[in-house]
Amino acid sequence: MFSQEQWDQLLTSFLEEARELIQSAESALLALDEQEADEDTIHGLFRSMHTLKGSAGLFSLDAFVHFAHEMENLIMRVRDGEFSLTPDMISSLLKALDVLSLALNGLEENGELPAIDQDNPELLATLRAFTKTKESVPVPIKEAEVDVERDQPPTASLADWHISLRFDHQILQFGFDPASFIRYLTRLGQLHDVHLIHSDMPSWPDFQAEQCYLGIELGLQTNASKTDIESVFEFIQDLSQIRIFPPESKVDDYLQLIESLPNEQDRLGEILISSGLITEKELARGLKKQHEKTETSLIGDVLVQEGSVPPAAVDAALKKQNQIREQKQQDSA
Amino acid sequence: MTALLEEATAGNWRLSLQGPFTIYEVNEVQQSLKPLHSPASLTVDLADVDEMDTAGLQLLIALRNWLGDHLHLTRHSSAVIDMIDLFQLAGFFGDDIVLPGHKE
Repeated sequence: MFSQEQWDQLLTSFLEEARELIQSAESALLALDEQEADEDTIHGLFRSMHTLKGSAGLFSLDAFVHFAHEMENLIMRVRDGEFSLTPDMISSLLKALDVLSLALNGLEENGELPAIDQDNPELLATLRAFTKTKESVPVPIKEAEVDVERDQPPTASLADWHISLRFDHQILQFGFDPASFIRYLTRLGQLHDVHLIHSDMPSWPDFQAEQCYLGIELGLQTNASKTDIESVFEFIQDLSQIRIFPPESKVDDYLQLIESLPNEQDRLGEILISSGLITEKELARGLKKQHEKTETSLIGDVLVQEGSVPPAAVDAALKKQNQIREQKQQDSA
Repeated sequence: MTALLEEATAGNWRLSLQGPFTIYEVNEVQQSLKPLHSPASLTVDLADVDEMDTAGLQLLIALRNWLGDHLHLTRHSSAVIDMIDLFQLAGFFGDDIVLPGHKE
């Protein structure tokens, strides 16, 4: 279990950052109230809200995220030129910032976030209504319509990223839940090929339930920037190895990943799939061909002959597989 | 969290979990399994797990690795199913996954 002291440190740094962000958002709104909207101020405002929401999400402060999401969504539409910021919007956003600010005080004093979304349904509805109609007439909107889809990029320019995560043993004790980061990623786009790597787990009873022995490999289809993706993991960068492979990554990049994975890795096929180098179909075809060929034929040869993967990738993966085999033989000897 | 372990018939154990199953509870759950050495079977009843995080999921994986086919997960609550789905582990846990008749 993480100690009270560690938790206090994490919370203190979050509170500090959040208050700065709220302050800068407030200054931006006041400036926008007094003068013509300028692009830089609106962009700055959006970034503040976006970061604020992201940080709160990592602490699973759901009510806070809920509020910040509505605010961010409104500002995003202004930024994208869908409509311009009215005095009504500015006033509601300022009120919402006050709510967030009070929520932080409550969190600091009682260690618990007040249910600000339940306590302020009208303000939430007003914020939401701005994005539904350009006339700024608040209309009631069903709870079910509040979702993350509006955050998601248009399908036209989606790109495929690969993300590789290895967590330090203490990450759970520090109060971070890897699952919440994965859930958060779904706000940026579509997840696919999620592989939980658990081969480094000691066997029962050496397994210690409060330690983390996990890694995650996953694909993310999004048009979010690398900075956006990185910011999701900002709070755990010292407690994990985070590798983010942009869509334009070369085979060599994935080779390095395979090389750097711990010894007890899963089978060659899974490594290649989770590295995004081949598809499951290609692997299946490779396995089938292998089955039809001589018994000594290696899966890697078959895949190369099939043209699924570059030879260099297979060499690295095979080397890895052999290391695992040798390790297993040593272990069982 | 309540973790109740009982030996239903000789060698066949049943663990019933109630409440949250997270980093705050996993140690207690692991401790509750101390009487087990090489059980013929262990059935984990997940019906009343109302919250599960990665630590809870990891403990189930550790049990699976330890007991293989002798582990039976049963009556998964929606909190458990959500985690298994998120990490696409239905295949790993095998035919243990039984979707509830109605999932709300």
